[in-house]
Amino acid sequence: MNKKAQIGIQETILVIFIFIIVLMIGMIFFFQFNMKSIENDIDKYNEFRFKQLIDVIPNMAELRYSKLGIEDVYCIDLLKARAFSELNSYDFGRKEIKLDEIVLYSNPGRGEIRKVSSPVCVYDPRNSKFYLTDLEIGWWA
Amino acid sequence: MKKAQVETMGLVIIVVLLIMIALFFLIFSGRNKIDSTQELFLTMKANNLANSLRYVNVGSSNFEQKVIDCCAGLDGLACTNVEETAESGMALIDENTGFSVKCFNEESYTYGDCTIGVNSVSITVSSSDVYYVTICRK
Repeated sequence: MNKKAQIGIQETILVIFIFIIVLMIGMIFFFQFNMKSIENDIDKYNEFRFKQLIDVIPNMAELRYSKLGIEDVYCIDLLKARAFSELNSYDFGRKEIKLDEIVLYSNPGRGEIRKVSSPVCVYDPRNSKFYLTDLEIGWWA
Repeated sequence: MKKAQVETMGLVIIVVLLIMIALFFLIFSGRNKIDSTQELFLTMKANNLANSLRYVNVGSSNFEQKVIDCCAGLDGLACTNVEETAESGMALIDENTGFSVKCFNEESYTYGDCTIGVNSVSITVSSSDVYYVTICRK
């Protein structure tokens, strides 16, 4: 009788022990999966913020064309862009932002660079002309 | 002893099966999410082009005026100017792009090599004619 009870107890302890080991392995895999999923979400978010700059930059008050204080024309003022390129007050991270030949922002990083570009309208106050050009944004991820 | 061993194996198998089911659930619940960021990016590009074109100088007037003239049929060259200016803008975009004008008098013009894709906002000019840009997904 004693032996039978002992075997029964040992069996229970073994089952619980194996169960705990399998559960711990499962939890390790679960947390690793979760961490990877979070890292992927962070990468996706950073990538979207990078791509969103093609919409943010032309809308910046420091760059946008205005007449008598009214910003109803979706264009970048060339003189404002030249002045902005000499400022160091913005931090866009490891990026390079170019408006045609003008480098608006440059903070190079290492490794592979990813680029996006978008057509934008530029206003040249010297001859009061509006024309299309390319806004290019590079990112060292 | 044999009976105990069989029972133990049975319990272990059940536990392993439960954990595998939970893992499969975790893996497949994270899939099939539609990535809308690429669509948003193409929309931003299309909007940029559509908004940028409006005030671009074309000859002695601007693109908006050329669209109005093209739709009104007042100027034979206006539609050509619209096409050339739109194509110069579309050339700045890597993806296949289309440009459409819907005139108030029901006429319409389409340029470029993309008809079905991500559309920009519709820009309504002062004569109630409308134009928009379409970018095809790669």
